[in-house]
Amino acid sequence: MGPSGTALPSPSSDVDVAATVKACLAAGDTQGAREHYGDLVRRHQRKATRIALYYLRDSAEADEAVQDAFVKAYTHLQTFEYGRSFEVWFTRILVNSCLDRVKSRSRRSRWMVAAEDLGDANPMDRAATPRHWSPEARTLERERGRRLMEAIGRLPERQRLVVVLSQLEGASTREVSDMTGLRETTIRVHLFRGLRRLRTLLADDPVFRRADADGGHSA
Amino acid sequence: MIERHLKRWAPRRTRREHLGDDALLEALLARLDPTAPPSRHTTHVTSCEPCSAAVSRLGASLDEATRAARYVADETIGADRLARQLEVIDRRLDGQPARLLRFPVRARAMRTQPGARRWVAMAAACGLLFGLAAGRMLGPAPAPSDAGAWPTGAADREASSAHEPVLADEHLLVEVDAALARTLHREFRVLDELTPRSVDVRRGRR
Repeated sequence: MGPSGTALPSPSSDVDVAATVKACLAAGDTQGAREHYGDLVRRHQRKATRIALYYLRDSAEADEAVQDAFVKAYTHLQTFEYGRSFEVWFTRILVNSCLDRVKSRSRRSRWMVAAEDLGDANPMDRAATPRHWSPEARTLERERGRRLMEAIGRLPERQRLVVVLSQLEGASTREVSDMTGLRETTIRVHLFRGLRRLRTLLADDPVFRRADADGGHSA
Repeated sequence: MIERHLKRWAPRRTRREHLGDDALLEALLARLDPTAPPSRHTTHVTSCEPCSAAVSRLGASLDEATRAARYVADETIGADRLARQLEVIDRRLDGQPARLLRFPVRARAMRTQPGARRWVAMAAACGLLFGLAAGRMLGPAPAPSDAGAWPTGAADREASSAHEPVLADEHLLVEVDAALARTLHREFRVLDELTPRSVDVRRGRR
């Protein structure tokens, strides 16, 4: 999957790359398939890691979930239908990979002693900020992001998933439906409830109150 | 009929009061999702300037919060991290383990009593295997692990059937869960009695 020595065609869309990988696999060209698949991984890796991180709130677990998902996607690429969105298809695999980890985590917490504070309890704390920002702006942005992530982590599972995919990653209701297998009306309900809950959780947070203080609305 | 009802309801609401937080959020979500059915507050929002402004402000603050979360997450995902991920994916696709855990060197230097240790380890392993096998035979069939879980699609069903390396401890925990879910514990006690204990072995050596 590393840099290729041979000249490869540069397919434009994900679906084309996926089709090329499938064609390479069918022709027994594993090397070619892996090179093209590497391109596909690079395109979606960041977003996938972000989703897993939002959802699992643990750096190492997020990485493993993403790796699992990419390996599964490669293994089952034959089932991917041309014309469908690769991103939606892959995100569904990723979401299930994250859910498996959540289930496994709850099982472990029942039977094993939790490893408290392994030095990476909150990966968000390590985030860097652009140099051109003022120290206050940097602190505020980081703090807002961190608080929001914490609040998202406190949402019920389905609300969290829908808020992450729909609100944070900007997927449409139809796409979220394809990714999660939930009905569109159910997604709208979960999104509404999730955002309402987030609002309640962050209502007393000075970091967010400060942002809202600019405009008032008397209800 | 619904529209007529909404039209009748909306002016009354306008005269009475502005929208509350939940109604504003509902109106915002309806505004953001073009495929969503019209909100019952849409009429009010279009005719009430303060409410319209409040919906816009709510949308802006939501965008701001989203941007902050995304920014923080993106900063955590550096190029080296992505490169490491890619490397692991590559190794796994090659059929190699994702990581190599070395056995501590110090343990090799420890003084061992090969005979007794081997015997205890073998007895424990046999007891465990025998217990699990008996549990499977005597107890009711364990519930499938996906029962009551999230609905999965064809792609994922396919994916979950992949021959992934299963972690031993994870498997053991699943087995423990399944065993405790059963009502037949007596068989395990009998098997437990049959299995030698390390304490007895140590006493015997003395």
